[in-house]
Amino acid sequence: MTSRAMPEPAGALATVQGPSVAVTVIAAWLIPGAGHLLHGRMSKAMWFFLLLSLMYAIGLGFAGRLFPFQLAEPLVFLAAIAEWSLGAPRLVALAAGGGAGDVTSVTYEYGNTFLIVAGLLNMLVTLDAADVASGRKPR
Amino acid sequence: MTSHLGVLILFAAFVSAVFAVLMRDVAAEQVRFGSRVFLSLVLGAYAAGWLMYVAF
Repeated sequence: MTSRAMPEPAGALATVQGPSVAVTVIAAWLIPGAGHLLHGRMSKAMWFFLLLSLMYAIGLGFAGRLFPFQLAEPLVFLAAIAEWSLGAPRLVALAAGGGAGDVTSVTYEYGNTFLIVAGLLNMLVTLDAADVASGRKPR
Repeated sequence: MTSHLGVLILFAAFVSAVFAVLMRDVAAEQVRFGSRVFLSLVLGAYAAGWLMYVAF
């Protein structure tokens, strides 16, 4: 009796070698591009690190505010989630006492926009890294 | 930098670069896609600003 290979069902995940999805997501959240780096995507990792870190730094330089988790103010709460989506830069800014925000500065709102969007973009980058780690996206 | 247009261009450049690297794998395609996103963001914001100027 000959054995025949069973065809893979549609939507099956490819076998992936390397760090697990959880490790990839934590690394990608902590350092922008680290998730891609763990899976050998050096060029993408470098660009994500450079662009997102610089965006965060520009946001702080523009006197943007690092928002606290404040449930009474839904928009402030959502902004805090977005800004915490870049783990290490947020922790460094917290430790350094940066991101107090200066509402009188002309660039205050621009700074907030850069900080929030950098975090949101890192959410997308993290999801992309998770797809690579789970095999949903080819390496 | 306090120029609205200058900050808009800076912001659009960063966002389009991240999307280009995220969505495309080949360098030439990244440049093409990134340029399209960049122009869409800048021209879209410019058009929206002009419409608001006319309407209000």
